Amino acid sequence: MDFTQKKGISMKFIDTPFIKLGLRGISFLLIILFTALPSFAQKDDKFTIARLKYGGGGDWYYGQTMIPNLLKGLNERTNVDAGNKQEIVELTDKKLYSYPFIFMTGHGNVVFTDEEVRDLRLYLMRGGFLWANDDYGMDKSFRREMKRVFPDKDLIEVPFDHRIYHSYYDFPNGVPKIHEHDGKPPKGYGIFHEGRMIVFYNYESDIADGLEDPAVHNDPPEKREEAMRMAINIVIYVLTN
Amino acid sequence: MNNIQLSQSLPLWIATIILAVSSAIIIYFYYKTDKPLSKLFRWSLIALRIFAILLIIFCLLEPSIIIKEEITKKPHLLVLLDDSQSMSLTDANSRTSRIDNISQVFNKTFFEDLSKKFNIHIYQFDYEPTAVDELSLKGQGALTDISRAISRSFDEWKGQPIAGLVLVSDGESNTGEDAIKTAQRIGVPIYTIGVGQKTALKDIQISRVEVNPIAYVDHILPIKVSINSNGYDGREVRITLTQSGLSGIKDSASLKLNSSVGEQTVELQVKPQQEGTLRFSVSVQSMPDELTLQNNTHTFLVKVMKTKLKVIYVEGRPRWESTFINRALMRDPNIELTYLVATKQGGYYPQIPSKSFPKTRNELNLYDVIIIGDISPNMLKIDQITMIKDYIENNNGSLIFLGGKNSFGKGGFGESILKDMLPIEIGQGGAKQLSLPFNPILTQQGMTHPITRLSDDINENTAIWRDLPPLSRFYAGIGVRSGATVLAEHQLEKDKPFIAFQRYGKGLVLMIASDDLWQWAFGVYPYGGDDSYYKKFWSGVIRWLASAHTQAERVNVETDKQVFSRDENVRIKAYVYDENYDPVNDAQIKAQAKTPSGSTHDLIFSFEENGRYASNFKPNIDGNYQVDVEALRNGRSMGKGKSEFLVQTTSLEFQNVQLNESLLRNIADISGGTYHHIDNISELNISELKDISLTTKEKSIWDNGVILGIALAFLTTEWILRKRKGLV
Repeated sequence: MDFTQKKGISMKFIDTPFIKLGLRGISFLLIILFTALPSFAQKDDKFTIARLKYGGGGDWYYGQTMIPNLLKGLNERTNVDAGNKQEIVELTDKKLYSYPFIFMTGHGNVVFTDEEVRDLRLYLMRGGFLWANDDYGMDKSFRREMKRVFPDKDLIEVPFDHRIYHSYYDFPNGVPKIHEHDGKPPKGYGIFHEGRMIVFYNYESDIADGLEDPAVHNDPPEKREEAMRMAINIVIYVLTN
Repeated sequence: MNNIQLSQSLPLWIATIILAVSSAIIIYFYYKTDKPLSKLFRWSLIALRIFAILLIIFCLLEPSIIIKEEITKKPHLLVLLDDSQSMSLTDANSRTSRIDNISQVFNKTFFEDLSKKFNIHIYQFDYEPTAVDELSLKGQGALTDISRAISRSFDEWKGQPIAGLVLVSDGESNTGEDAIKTAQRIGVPIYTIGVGQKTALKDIQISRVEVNPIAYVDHILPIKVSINSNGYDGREVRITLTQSGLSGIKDSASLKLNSSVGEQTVELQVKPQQEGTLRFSVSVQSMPDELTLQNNTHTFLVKVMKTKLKVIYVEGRPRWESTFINRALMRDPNIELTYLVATKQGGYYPQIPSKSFPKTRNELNLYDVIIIGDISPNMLKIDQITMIKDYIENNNGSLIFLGGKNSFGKGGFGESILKDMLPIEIGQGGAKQLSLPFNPILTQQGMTHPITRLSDDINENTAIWRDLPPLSRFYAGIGVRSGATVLAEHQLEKDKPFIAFQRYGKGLVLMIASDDLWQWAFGVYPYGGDDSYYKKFWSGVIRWLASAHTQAERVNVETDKQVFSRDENVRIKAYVYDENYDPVNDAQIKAQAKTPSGSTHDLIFSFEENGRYASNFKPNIDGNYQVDVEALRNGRSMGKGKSEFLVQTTSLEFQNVQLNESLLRNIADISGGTYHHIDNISELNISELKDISLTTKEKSIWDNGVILGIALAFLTTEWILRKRKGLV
């Protein structure tokens, strides 16, 4: 009798909503802990940009404030729900496919291994996008490597009426000149696959330079504004196409 | 002639060691005993024990005797002669056609010689073998199945002594299983005789036509035509496109032939002007001395619809989920998408050409499906919400709600005037986005529903869903609305709907509780997959929602392909759904096939599984066939469906016309036979065909009670003698 009574009390205790919810939660957590699936995907749905770590000796890491500043700009000026830090990926990383938007910059030599050449080609044709910013000195090796990636495609100058120059802000004269190096005109080049731009390459423009913290290069505020606007355009173009 | 065969499980050397060791032990212990025993008595006990062990080991070796019996009766010899269309060709180096060549060589005298040693059985074959008393080759079969010819003829004489098969063919097997594997399986020598010329022949052929089977009125339909040629390099030919029932050429192109580059392609196009299933033909100009003209024309069907499916997708913010949906729908040639992404300021990101949300009900009603992305209801104007409500309730519209922080969260659609439309209920404060990887799993309805059916086979479909990459996040705090149908749910929480729909007014509303389905479009690659299931899923979603409001679509009729050869089996499938789109398993199917001559044939459908019924039909004349299906339940019609297919005889037989010697050689080699060309038939030495057959019988010589009885007798006698001497 005592035993039944005890049992009755204990059942009542379990039946209280709070405990029931707690037990359910614990069991759910246990299931999750023991059966959690491996995933290469991002944990949240915040937009971010992955910086490409490449070989050849070039300074792939140059300008650590560029991407965080661009993400901040996206959050402030658009309704893109952006994170606050950059990710770093190599072309052979499995997590590469968590980031449909990758960015590369530098002043020096770029060399891809044969495996990386294949991986970059596949990544771009499957839906990925590469924004390459020539910080001054990357042009020759970048063009050489992209020819290895796409022997059948050329980097072609993007016409000024292309959506990338009008996706959020208007750039009727194409890519802006942010940082002067050689006095050459700024150029925006693209590689296209099935009608979609898969690579955007800015040359003699150095948009990324203008995205850095003001103290880094002392670019004038209007140049920094132009850089932020063009970078936002690139992101919006990719996300809406 | 007879052999003893031992078991494979206990090798003889192990058995010998066991016997030797146990004999040594027995001798050792009998010599070690303290009891005084005479030498004869001691050795008698030892012998009894060793004999008993010997018998046990003998049984473990499972010896059997192989008795080979000579068959004095004449063995059978099966002669298989190819009677398909390609055999009607006359090769450049021959004056007679392939079948005439066979008839001359395989004449009465030839068979009379053979029948002295064998019981001859002649089969003519194309798609199937037919036993004949004497040759009557016509070269009319539209398909060649060498594997079926071998296996079916062999099966008729299986169990009887078969000396071998003689296979006479050009080796162009264009359907069925791998003939080499079949030859290996039957284990009887096959003597193959090649007919025809093995080098490429002078010919021009349309090898392939690539065209979208669905087209739209007034929209250009591109047609890619591939041409193979040999022997006409440098000559220019004209390729023309015509439409059945209409005079004149729809389009044409010229091509300078060059066999060294392999397949050459030209592009033609047509702008269909009427709805329905239209029949087009592409022809390449013929040249003198071509091997055959039958492969110079290719006919195909195109289903022409009034317009493309119109879809409008309103997204609340730029995000990867919408990027990949947009790309999938934009690239679907049968969908016309209006894609609007809201800006922070309340407008839409600029599009070229510029697009906007419909301003009137009539404009909105032109759309087949509306997709609402991660947008907060307060970003839509009140008249837009009213129009959407009216579109669903009164205009048979279809709506998709996608998961997102704004659409499902606090202040989302769960709290808007559209909340009753949702097939889910969202708790107070909105749904919460939880970051935990999971795989959605299909419910019973989901396993066969057109939206979630990524394969016709249920097990394969379940496996596809299981093997898709895990999704990273799900929405907690949502439940199924009463009356809604859940197609997929959370892997661990059964009451968490992942894909669900419900009827609302006259329309349909679907919900997908995810914001990272794009993993199946892009994140799928590290898992070894590709984006094909993602595209198929979205294509299925749009098509089903766009057509689900018409009763006709509750009965879907399909054939595996659109163009068949004469005598090829056409499998017709009918999927039947009730008003809630649950599969119906107790429907009566009334169906007819209308042939090109206008006659009708009743079709008998049998139930397979989950709303799927199937029927088989063998067309025997060329032309268009129409299948009309009506599903009934308790005598009441549940809906009708129809499908069309085309039958043409020239599809496969003239694709490859030269002798495929390598196939015939491989069949001969793997089966233990020999290969000869028909011109060298004298090399086929009849005496090399084994005219005496042996059958083998296996008789077990260990599996009987006598051996067990003897072993027991030895052990019992030894035991009694031991007891009598007081041994332990």
